Amino acid sequence: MDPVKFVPFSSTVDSPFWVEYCHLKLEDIQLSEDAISMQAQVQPISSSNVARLQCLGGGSNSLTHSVRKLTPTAVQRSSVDKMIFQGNLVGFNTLETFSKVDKNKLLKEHFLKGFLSSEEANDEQILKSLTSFILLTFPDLKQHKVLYWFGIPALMSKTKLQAKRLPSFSSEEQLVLEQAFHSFRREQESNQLPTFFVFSNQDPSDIVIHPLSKDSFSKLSKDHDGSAEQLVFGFVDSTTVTTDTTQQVVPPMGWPLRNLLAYLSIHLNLGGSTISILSFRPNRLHRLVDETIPSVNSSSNNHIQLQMAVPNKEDYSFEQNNTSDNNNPYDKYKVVGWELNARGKPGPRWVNLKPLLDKNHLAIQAA
Amino acid sequence: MSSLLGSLRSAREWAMPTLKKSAFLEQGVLTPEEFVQAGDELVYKCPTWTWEAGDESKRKSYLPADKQYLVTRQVPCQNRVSAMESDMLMEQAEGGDGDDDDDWLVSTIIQRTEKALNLEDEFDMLDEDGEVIEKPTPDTAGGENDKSEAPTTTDADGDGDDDEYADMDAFEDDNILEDDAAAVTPAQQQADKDDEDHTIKVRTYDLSITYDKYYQTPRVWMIGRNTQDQPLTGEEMMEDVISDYANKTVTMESHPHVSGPHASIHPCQHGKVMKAIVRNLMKNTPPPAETTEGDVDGEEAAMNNGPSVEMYLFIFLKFVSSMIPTINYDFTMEVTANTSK
Repeated sequence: MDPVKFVPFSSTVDSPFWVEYCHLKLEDIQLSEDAISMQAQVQPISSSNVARLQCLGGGSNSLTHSVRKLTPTAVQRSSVDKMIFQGNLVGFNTLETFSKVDKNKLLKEHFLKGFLSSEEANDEQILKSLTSFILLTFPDLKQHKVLYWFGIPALMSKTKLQAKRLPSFSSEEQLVLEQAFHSFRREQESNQLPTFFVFSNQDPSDIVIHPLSKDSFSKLSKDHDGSAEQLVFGFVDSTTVTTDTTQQVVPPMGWPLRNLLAYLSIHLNLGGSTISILSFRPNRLHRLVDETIPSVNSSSNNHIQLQMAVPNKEDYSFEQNNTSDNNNPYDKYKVVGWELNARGKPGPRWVNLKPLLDKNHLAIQAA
Repeated sequence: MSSLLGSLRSAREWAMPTLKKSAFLEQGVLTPEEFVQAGDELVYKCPTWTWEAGDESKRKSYLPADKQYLVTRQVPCQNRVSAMESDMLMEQAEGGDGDDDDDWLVSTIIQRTEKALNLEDEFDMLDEDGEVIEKPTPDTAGGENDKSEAPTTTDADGDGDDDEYADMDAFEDDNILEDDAAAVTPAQQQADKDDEDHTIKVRTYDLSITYDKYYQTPRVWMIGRNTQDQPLTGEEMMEDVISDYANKTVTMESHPHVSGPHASIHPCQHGKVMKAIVRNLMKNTPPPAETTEGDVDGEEAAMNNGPSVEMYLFIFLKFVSSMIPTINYDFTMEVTANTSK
């Protein structure tokens, strides 16, 4: 068993997104500091080493505000080839409130609000919270600058997460897997790519992938007398750090795996058991119109299968003693995930929108 | 100004009937359906390109809702065109004898890649205010003593409006960093050995291709960011356009789908150029089996053997790269190979 490291997301924001946000701030949001729901996308195939959380301009981020009465889901995705992260944008009116706000608390509450929603029917909500983010901003409209900070929450566990790397797939196995994933994409009703999925590994030549949910888990585990031994929990991992071919070392994993484990422990009651994890790292996505993918296979074998022990429920609780009055059910959890700035320190980034927004500048440019 | 032009443009597009009949080979233009078809091929072959839906209110009805325009993001652009152009001129002057117009362009580009690193030092880097960033000269780069002032801008106190943000330490909050041993922090490692960091930070561009209904051709838009990830001004973007086209064929306009001014290549000549390229491609193609040169049938047969509509955007992007040669977007495909089929 080796300790597992996780690669945080790195955020990129399109300039048009900020332009739209500044217009919205002036016209609609004004002085309100309420959270605005928005979306960002993660591409399953990343051109750089790290997975990127992208906020795009052109409304595809669906920066919505209650004034506009737009629902986030009303915006159509361009295709099912992206993973959509739901998030909240919290804009502050002054630099001081931006600096002073308790950011750890914000991130924690943002994550746990979805993750710990107690109603059984809320499985969908919980799963959505696993891939969510929060974006703090201070739009300085006079100077055309925006100070911003992304947090992509992950639930901390007390124990070190450890894993054993399982042997790589043979080319036949890989083909079966990719074919199954292709069918899985084709069957998606929603217009986005689910980050998490689950399948039974009993017959390796016949894999049917299901989106991860309580229902599909209970259905699949029923076939195996309630045990999760034959199940593989997968997630689409756009991390490509070190394509180390040595079999022993566990390469760094994508950030979403942390919350997947928390979900398995707390919501599927798999704490303490050993399960299989698949880090699915596609090279290319095939056209959805094709029914089968071509059997000419890419030589590289990127997908990584791990054997991991799911932390116990207690491992997520940082409660010092039992004397604390249980006023706040969130108190005992720890959530991490504030993005580091360009210098590698925890701090916000800023963007200068003068070239895009300053009327004087634009007038000179147009002349 | 640019928004006024933008509304004029959209009015004209509205009045223009949608092209129904394919006329790619005859006129170098595309129908919206063919644009989607060609875009699908581009997205499939070059995964860095994706379809975007854009703003719902700005949606064009003649294109599918989820395929309004094509985008490729964060395309590196290492050098300014001016450096490349001056290089070419020098080369022309040097190679006095036998200056063969077809050859020098190719040799310069090859030479450019070899010299890429040296050139990085030769011209000035501009910060977001258009001020020269002082770079350490190769001689002094080894000395540690000047590193503190090297990356800072000479303008830090100029107009004073970024004082507030110049020192980002003020906003850093070490309380945030929970003891999270499980996270990989590549940025942190990099910051520690900043001096040995060999990755060169370059300008990046977001390129998009929209369908221009009036000219019935694709149209290219670009918006750039400097080495510090800050948006470029229009003037700075023009530095990455061949000077013959800057502010003439390439102008600042507002994008039909997203907000903010973009640099755009005006599509008025696109159809003609594409037609010429297609004709040249077909001319170079060995004539089909039954060679009946001259008469109408033969010409038609040659037409049928021309590049398929799916190839349009590849040929188009190759042609566009002659105007923005330093922006290294992905259009990797053998255009010539397909002409022989």
